[in-house]
Amino acid sequence: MRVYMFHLMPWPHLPADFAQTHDTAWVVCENALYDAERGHEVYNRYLDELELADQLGFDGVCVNEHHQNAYGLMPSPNIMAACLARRTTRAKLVILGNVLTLYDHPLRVAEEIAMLDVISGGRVVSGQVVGTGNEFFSYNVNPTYARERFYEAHELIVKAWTEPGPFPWEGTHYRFRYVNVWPRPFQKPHPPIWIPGSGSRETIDWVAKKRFTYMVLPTLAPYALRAATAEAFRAACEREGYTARHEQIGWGIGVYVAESDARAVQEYEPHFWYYAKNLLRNRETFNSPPGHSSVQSTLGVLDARRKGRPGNFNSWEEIQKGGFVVVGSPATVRDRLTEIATHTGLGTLIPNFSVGNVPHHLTRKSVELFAREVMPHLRGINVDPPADGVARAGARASLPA
Amino acid sequence: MMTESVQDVGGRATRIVRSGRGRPLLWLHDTTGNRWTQGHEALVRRHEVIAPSLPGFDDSTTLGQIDRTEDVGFWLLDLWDALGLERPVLLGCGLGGWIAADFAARYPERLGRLVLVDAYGLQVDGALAADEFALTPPMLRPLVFAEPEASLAREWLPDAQPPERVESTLHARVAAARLAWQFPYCPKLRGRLARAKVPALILWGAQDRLVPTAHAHAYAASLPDARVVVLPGAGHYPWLETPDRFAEEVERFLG
Repeated sequence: MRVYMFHLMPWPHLPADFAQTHDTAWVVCENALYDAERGHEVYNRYLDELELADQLGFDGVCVNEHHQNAYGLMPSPNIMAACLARRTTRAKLVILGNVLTLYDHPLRVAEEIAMLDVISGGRVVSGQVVGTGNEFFSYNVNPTYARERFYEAHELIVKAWTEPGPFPWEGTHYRFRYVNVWPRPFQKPHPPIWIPGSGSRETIDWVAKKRFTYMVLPTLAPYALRAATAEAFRAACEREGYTARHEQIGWGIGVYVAESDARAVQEYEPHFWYYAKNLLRNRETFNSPPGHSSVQSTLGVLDARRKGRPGNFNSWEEIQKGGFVVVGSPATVRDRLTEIATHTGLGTLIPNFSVGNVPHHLTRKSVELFAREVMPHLRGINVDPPADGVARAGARASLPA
Repeated sequence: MMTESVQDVGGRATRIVRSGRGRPLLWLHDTTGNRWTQGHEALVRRHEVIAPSLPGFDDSTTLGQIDRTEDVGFWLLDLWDALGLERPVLLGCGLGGWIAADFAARYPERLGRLVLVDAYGLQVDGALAADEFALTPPMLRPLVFAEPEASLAREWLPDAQPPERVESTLHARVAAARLAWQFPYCPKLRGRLARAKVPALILWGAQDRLVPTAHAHAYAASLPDARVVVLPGAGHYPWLETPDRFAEEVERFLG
């Protein structure tokens, strides 16, 4: 398998009584709680952590996009990827993903991803997402068009990357007289595309059909729920007439490694609760605006998703039992991840070490222990036979130094 | 006697509930969908109340190209044809009021009279309607009901819909959001209302904190022939909270 370190870049300085005084960390969570001087430290610290992952041999680093919230501070993941493009040399830069639905100019996404791909010598993975419900409130995009806009923007971007311009695009939501993106992507035919999804049948079927990588969301949810999603994706691939490649199954998960199991839990737990109780705190309305998912899939997943939210739990035993995160000594984490990989077939592991407000020194220690004592053991698991015609990592290596 | 039928309206299967005898009164529902209420019932003594489901509200997968109130206006023209309507009373509540006002500005000759009830549709400085899609039922009840703790409020807008209403509520919310997401108005409507040359009644719940009464007065100031009646003891749904007063005012206006 390949291992890609994920960062949410959460705001770690919410007041201690946040959960008592706020019903959401999103959309209307007042930005007076943000402090730019601390923000300066936070951004640079988080970027340091991703650069460390590159130095430690992770296959990639991941950033993502959220707006107007304390949960994740990357309204523009492409800016973060641009910072990383020049400070890393080997790791894939995974934008996980761009929220295509929010932009009346999806060509901007096509342009920026192509820029990053060219600058980095073909290290970019283009994640593409519909976006959480919150973003539709924050960006005033009508959520009843979420799926239509996503699919149309996606088709437009891929066509802009792969077909010679200029050509016109006359869609339902987007119209461009002249599609003619400069620069064109470094990887041919285009950067790999990953699609995160939380189990909705329509997304699973679509990703299977497109043969993209499906990243199982939400990252913090009961293991059984996520394993069922991975299984549904594999079944969808079979219906499409092929067996899913391991790399097509992406698995984001909170991971923390320390010297012993007891120490890991002791160090990690308070920060996990900061995440579960504060950052994930949200109004049901913001999570699920009308039309964001189809009525049928909303009926299917609503209950399971609600019940599985980590914020509904109060004891570490429940979290551990539910398999929300993988926390422990190197041996424990190694065994558990091996077990998960064997069971789900995942070949794209996306660990998130800095959950909630885990401080820098602990994140650093955990990442280093993971890289040294866990990652090497995972490499040989779920390895795909070489793919034909698909752009791979390491393109930069073939360039003159 | 109340009857319910599904009729083809311009190629759209449309559920139409009707009851009563007398002058036809077309009732356009609000964002909660086509539900027969005490307010409807109170009007059937002297009117034939015709309550169609607006496009997509019963099944949001049929929304198709419905995109704005103008599109619903074209569907209303089809409805006029399908039902053979001649200058009926057009009564619209909330979102339905916006659609009715827009229709009246475009096709005043098709209407007998116009009744707008706590209507969306206008941009009023300093009186932006609250965001009904952002607020949970417990947050919304005090905005839309004069008596938010009454059993009526809890029944109409429960914290969680009973199982048999979950799916229909989701469909109605999707159709409502298609038209009324975040800014349930058209900035151009006010300037167009001078064309709505039809007698109009603007009915408003005194305690409507979703669409403030400033909107009632803005409608009255822009329509050529309108008067405002503000109903005490009612919020955003006067036909639910004070159905008798509501019907009394409508009937007085219709003469």
